[in-house]
Amino acid sequence: MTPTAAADPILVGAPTPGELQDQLLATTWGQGGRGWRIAFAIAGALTLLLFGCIAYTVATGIGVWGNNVPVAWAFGIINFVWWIGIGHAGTFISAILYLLEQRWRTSINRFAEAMTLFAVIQAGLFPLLHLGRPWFAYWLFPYPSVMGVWPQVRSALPWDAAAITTYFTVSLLFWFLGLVPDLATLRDHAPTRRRRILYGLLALGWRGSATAWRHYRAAYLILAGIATPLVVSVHSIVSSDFAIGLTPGWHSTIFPPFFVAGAIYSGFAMVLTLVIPTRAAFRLKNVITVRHLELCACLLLVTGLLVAYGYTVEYFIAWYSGDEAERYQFFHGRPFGPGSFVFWAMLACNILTPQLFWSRRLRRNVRVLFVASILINVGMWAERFVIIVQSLQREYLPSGWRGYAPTWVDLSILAGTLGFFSLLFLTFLRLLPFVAVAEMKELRAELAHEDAAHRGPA
Amino acid sequence: MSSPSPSLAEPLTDVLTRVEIRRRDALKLLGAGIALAKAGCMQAPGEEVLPYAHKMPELSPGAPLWYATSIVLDGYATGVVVESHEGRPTKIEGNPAHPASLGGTSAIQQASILDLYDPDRARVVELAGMPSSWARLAEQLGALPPGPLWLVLPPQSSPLVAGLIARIREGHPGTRVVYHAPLGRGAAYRGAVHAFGAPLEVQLDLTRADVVVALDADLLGAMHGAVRWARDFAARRHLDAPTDTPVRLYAIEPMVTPTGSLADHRLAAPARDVLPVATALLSELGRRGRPVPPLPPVAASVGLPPERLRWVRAVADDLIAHAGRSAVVVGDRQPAACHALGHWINAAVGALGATVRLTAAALDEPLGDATLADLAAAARAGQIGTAAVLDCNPVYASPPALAIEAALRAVPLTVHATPQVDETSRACQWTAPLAHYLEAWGDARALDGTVSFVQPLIRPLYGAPSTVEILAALAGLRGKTGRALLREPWRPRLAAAGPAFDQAFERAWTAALGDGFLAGTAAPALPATPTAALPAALVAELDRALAPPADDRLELALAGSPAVHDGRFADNAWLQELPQPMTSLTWSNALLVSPRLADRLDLADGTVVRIRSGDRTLLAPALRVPGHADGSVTLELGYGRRAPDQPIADGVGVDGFALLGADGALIVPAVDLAATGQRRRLARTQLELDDHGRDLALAARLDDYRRDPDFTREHRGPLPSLLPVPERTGLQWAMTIDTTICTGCSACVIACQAENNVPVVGADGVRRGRAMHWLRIDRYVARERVVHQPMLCQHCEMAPCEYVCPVYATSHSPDGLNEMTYNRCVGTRFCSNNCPYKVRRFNWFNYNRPETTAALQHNPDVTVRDRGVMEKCTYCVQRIRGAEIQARMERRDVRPGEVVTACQQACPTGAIQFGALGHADTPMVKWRQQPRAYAVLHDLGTRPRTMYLAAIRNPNPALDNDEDEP
Repeated sequence: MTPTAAADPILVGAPTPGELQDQLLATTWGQGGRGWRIAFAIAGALTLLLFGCIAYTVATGIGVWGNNVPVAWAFGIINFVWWIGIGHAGTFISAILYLLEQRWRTSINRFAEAMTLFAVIQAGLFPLLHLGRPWFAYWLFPYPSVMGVWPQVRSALPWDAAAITTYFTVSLLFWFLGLVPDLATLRDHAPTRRRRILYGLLALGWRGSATAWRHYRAAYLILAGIATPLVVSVHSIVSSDFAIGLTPGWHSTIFPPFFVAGAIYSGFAMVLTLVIPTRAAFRLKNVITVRHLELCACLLLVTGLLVAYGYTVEYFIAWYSGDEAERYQFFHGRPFGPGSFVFWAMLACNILTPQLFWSRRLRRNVRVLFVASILINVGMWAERFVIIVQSLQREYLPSGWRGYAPTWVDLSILAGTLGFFSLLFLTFLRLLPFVAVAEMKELRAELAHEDAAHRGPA
Repeated sequence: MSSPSPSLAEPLTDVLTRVEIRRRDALKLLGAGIALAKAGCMQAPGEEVLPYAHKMPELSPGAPLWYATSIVLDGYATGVVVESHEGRPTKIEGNPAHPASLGGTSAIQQASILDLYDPDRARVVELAGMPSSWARLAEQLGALPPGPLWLVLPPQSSPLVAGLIARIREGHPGTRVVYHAPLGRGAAYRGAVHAFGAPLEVQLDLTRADVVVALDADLLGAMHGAVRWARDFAARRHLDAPTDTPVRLYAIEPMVTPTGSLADHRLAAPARDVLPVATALLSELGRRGRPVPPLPPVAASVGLPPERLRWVRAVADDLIAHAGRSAVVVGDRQPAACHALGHWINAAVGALGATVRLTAAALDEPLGDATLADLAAAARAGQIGTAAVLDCNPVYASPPALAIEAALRAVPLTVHATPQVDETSRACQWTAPLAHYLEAWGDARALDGTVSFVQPLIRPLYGAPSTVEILAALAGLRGKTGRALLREPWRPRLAAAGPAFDQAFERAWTAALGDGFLAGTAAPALPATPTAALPAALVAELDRALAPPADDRLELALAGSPAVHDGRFADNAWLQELPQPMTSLTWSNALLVSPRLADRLDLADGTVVRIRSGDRTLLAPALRVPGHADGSVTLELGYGRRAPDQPIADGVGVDGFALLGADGALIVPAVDLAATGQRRRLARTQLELDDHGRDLALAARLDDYRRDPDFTREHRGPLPSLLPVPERTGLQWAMTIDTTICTGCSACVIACQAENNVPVVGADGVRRGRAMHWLRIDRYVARERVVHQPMLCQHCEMAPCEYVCPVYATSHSPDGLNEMTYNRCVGTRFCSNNCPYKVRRFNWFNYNRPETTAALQHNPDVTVRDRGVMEKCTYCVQRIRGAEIQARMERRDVRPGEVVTACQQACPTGAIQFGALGHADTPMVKWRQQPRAYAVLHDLGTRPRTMYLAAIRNPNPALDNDEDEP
């Protein structure tokens, strides 16, 4: 370990395994503080609002949203893409950083993976909800139907169905697998009999033998390997919902990498938004250190630059193509047409904000990071609005040009998913150890070993 | 159990109530019930029914029947053929043999079927608000109180009604008749009196015209003869080859009408400026040596601005150059003096006897008997005993100064027979429902005098009497049905007296009803020529009208609405939702202003404006219309109804009648406008009129077309593609639309709605961009030139909507149709996003709930779509399959021209042609082979089956030097 790294550690202090375990499990044993209760109540209320609006939409029709022709896709699909994008950071941290042996992932990976799961749940609501007849949503899945008809696989929407399902399943398995040793620890240290039984059931009989650990390692590695391509494929497929279409502003080959970069970008921003208050509230600043935050900020800068590159390429190709509809879209419709304030907000939030992180001081400033992460997520939501709504508003035939305005149902559903996400997340924070105890103990041991080796024989 | 075991046919509930239930028995019954449900047995009704074994020979359930009848509007009849499913009329088509239709129909005619099933129809006879009966009303009509009888009804051309009125006059001396038509043609007939001494009818034969001049005359859109005239005009306007020379159309009008939008040279001018222009035209013709009467001195002092004078001179030269093959048409809104001058102009250019023929008036008493003003004065003076107001709404549709409502209240007995309870009902003691024309017997004359018959397709839904039956009750013929009343006077006319009289009559009667009209009854042309000198009355009128105006304030030009006419169709949801020809405005009218005026007064679209004329004011939302004349504003009549019994009509738009002067003239000479701070959101379907250089609706001038016939080359022909071109065998369906002859009248839009059960979404739905019309008329305006482009599903061979549907709800048929499988659609709406033409529609709500009587109009051959499902034009696949089934039964191939889509059938000009690509001798195929054919968005590679013909204009070189853009 270099002296620089020692000055900026990813695990502050040299806690004993017991101390570390106690600190990390305390979040599960402790009572929810007042702050948690208030947050939970608000999240609960928003969740009720969400399900009320869902019921209203399903019972009455998509007409209660603001969609129209030509803007047939709006908030529903924007929210879908936004939430799925957010989820990508979790898998990036869990799987890709694991394969790249980046140890700083250890303290935040379960947290991030849970964020992914809950984000995918939010996202998964929309492909069902935005359907005109959601009770037939299962027709998008390949099953041997008595009608003898299978899904039409040249369309990106069955790909979506497959991708989201795969993503959720793999993420859930991966997350749960990682939890098993910790669940066993919780079982072994449970204060009440009820908790011991609950955690015991979930721990699947883990005893911590060497063989078990060997199998665990292998399974973890395999799942990380499976999850890694999902980071690229899932959002590539989501982007192909647009890229395979001929709408000006959608029909662009840069979409898959551009969307994946944007997804990781917004995901890391959401990780920061969640982790900054959590580490403060649960007093985990030694485990989730400023170094973690700084590294997230570096990734934000990188992916932010990729997103900026994506915008630049889009503009260049629109101009270079000479296609009047494309040029109008990019040079008139988006900056000056209806909804243009969203376009400019997108540019400010997505391109300007990460430039702060060139400064080492700023990317270690927790307040700056928190505000910037929120701005980035707002910017990424705005980007999906620009791509979806603004493109559809100004298509090929000017006779079909028309603006879009959301209804209270659209806004309520968006707020509701934020609430539902928070509800799930707050529950997770209370019920399960959101820092991986076993992995942290392993990390602690590795760091102590390296420390001793560095210091050399005394 | 004490009774026999239950049979499968007995309802389970009956069994349970009859029988003392014990637990085991209950379980047995339950089991039986489950078995029944599993076996899929229906509950048989308790009574015995028998299947329909002895059916009428012509009636096959599932196969529609067609009956001929006539639609009468403002007295003029148009023959139609109505499709009836199981005794329920569902669709109206033009009668191809009737001279006023030749197969075409107007939007209003297409929509009239919905009025039959209007849930807001009056259903009950009421006396002073309490339910009564037709029998009691008939009794009352047979025993009128003392005092003169006044009848108020629309203009009539019916021999039957004329006979009944004559009988009424005999039985009730002192009877007066008011022929009430706010959009009436009184001025036209008075103009004929000026010119010929008699109220003659103008008959146009545009098939012989090379030059047509429309003086504030929407002869292709709203005028009474428009359906026929549009067809004849189109026959001369359509080009088969660049060497053809189409008819040249000049128009002068304030607001852009379908006629004006097709004009080669359109002068945007206030309506009051048309008379000076007509005067100048007549004097220019005289200056060029044509025979014109001596004009009064005031005519010489008419000083036209140089641009208008140039226009008039060019028109004069052109009319003379095509003497005998030109025609001048004057609009009904113009004063009698203008109509009169029009006759002299036509005489001067040799139109009389060639393109313009004069016949006896089609209407009875064309100059009227009494006026509404006479009625109001007589009522107030207590000189009316009974007022019977039949099928019109004078309380609403009259100048406020006449105070018709107060006048009617002063009459001892008032009877109002109306399709829906309206403003006049409030002022009348008796309110009776009126039979719809599809429920009634009658006769009428077409514009050319052809006797046309009205026969019902359905018994009156609410037992309502028809106008004829009410008049019969007044004439002392109570108890006779409409049919009997109609047959009686026609007996001697249809058959000669003799031994076989009855059989001969029945044969003739059946033939007459089968055809819908009597051939050969058109009024003969009269060898009329205008007098050699202008009559004194006309000179006086000219002196008054041509005097320089006291002020040059804005003029308000009131006009009938192409949708609701004079307000009588305001409760028709299809017509309210029909995007208007130039503004695409729905569910309201608006104050139509020129862009320059809008800028001057700082009016945004929807800004509420206070219009003041004298002591009359009205608030109306403004809308700018490119091409509207400065110096004039237009407001359509028929809106602003105050009719709580008609929820569709009530409160929609603003009431232009409030601004009508006591003389009832539609041209209100001086109004003041003041913008208020309020803004109303207008519901329009098309917001952008500029095509942004995308070459979507191509147009060219004739000389450019002749020089470069292939100018549409970039918009047709094969495109390079990586994808294999699908090979298809068998009949391949396609469509060709000639935008040169599309007037934008929108009859096709309503026809499609009627044929395909397209729902109505309401004003809020249209505002949100959710209008459901499968077919829309796109308009693109370039330098105040308009091209109308009917846009419908293009049935692309490489359809972008098909590959994005996740569930195969949209696929391609072997015969080239893009199919829509409603039951499979889950409503992802990806297909809508991927359709570059934006012709797909989504059911955002369940638009068919709650179900009203309007559902009776639904075409049973077309699915009624559920919520959450996409829909779009299907090339009327039900008609295609119907024809194929018929052909297969008759063991033959489908004939060329056998399949006619609804839009094609309704179009008065025949601009839409549908057929199979293999039928080379049809217009559809021949038109596509013209060099001016093009496909919209051709370079996207969608390979649409619908092709368009570019709009070719024939500008006059003498007028053309500043318009290099067609």
